[in-house]
Amino acid sequence: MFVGFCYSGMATVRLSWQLFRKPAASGPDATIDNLISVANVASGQALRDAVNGAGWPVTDDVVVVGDAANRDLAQIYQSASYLLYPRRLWLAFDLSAASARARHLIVIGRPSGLSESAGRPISSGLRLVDVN
Amino acid sequence: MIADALIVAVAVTVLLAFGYALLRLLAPRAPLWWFERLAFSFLLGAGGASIAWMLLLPIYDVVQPRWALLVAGSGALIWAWPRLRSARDRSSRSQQAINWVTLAGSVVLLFQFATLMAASVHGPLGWDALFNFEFKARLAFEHRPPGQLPLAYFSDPSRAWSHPRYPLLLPFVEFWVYSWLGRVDQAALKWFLPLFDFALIAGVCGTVRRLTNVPVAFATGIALGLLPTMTVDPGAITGYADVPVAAAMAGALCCTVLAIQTEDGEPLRLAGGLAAVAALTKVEGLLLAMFFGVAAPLLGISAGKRAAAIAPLWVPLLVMVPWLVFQHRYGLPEADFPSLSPLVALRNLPRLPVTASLIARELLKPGRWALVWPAFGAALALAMWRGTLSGVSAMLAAGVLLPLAAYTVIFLFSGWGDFTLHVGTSIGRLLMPLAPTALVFTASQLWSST
Repeated sequence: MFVGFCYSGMATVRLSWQLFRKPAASGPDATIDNLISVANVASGQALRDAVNGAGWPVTDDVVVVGDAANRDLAQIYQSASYLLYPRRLWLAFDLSAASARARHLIVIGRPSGLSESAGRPISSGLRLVDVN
Repeated sequence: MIADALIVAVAVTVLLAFGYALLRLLAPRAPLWWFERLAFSFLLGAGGASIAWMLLLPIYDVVQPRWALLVAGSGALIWAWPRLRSARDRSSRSQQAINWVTLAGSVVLLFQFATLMAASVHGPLGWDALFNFEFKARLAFEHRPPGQLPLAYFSDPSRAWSHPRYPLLLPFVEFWVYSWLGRVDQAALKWFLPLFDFALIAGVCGTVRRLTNVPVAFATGIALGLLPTMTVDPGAITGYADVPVAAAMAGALCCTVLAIQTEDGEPLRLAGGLAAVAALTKVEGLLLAMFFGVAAPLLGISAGKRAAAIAPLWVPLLVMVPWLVFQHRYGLPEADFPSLSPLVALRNLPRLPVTASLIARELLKPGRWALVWPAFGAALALAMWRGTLSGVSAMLAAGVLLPLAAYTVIFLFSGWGDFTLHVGTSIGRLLMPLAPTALVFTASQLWSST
């Protein structure tokens, strides 16, 4: 047991060291800012401001659409759902399904069927698109 | 930052005061050590105030929840004051002289706690902590009137990612902190999260101290602080619910052992209250409380005390039934385990060996669990060979083995496309509330004072 606790103790020290080597998560929205940063968005507030600036009513549904192979998609979807409450957000993997579901899309990456210039880019990895 | 820490300290102190009153009402004469009183007061304060929060929901239209809870809590304190004053303190403050073991053990535990606090303040909240718990606290804080959660939230499939079915103790404590701060601040929450780790260590040390001796109690507490799963990954600092559940169950166990040793039914009421806190924190907490509530009277408590011994069974049920009824009426269908039909279990029977093997593999990871589980197995074999598996030790062993068996079986009902992924992502956290009991059992078998 002594050997086991020495081993796990070293793992604890190593994990703590890794944690301390990262920048401190300070600020009131530190965690959500960190999570949404995978979409290259500056902060959670930047996404909120962009959506409010686009004039999307809080009662309208929004679909987050991206490539299913994108490992960050679930993280971006949940982060956006968190940030844009009370809007109801859904997740879709292709544009036609997304467009059928809602008038407002948050497009992650460059899914096929969408031109380069469509929508308002918020970052290199995320843009807001209105469906007519 | 320091100002925020002070405000969080005030919010926690108010919870402690409520909790201390509850503790004294439930068990006015229980001979607890100071660290146990502090730990149990924190847990009971969080649990009691979260129940009060839910009961007072209708009046938040006219009174802010912080003031409503303060008035209700102060009223309860004034009402209970005569009883609080007359409660004789039979604590063991003079039983243990300070020697070098106490001093050295305290220094190491303090160092561990200080490191954990620093790590907590430095790092972000974990994924589940943000989306499953903090999100609800934020909703309650930003709702108009504040303190309420919209009824539609619980049945809205677009919010399923936030697990609306989870009990609300942690969201309440976080909402409570936000109420005192006057704003949402994810970083400020990190100041109080390590208190759950303190409560866990206190409960475990108290139990082991009662079953063995002071050096072993310190060693067990220090050993728990060396498990990454209980400290930093995910541990207490990420804001997940597992360490709070473990702390509440360790407290319930501690009080049950106290009741058995003193042959007094009073601490069993406290055990019931703490088991209810576990249930209010996470659904697994209710499951653990049920197993514990059944095992304690059957295996650990003498026949004369069995009526009192079912407190860990009925108190959690009493506080959870309204929540379960509410979820049944308004909540989303359970997605992870959509059906508990025996036919589903029968169809998925081939999963059993795969699940057992995945769990066994997890139990043998020394970098996560040290050798807690193999040592538990060895201690169990030793107890069976020596014929000492009865009373408290049987209760402790059952407190680990019954949930482990249940966890192996429950994945027969998993609704995930790949159930091995379900096992893989959840088994580490399911084991967290069991590890302290396994460690207590092992310590008590190897260094039993009786």
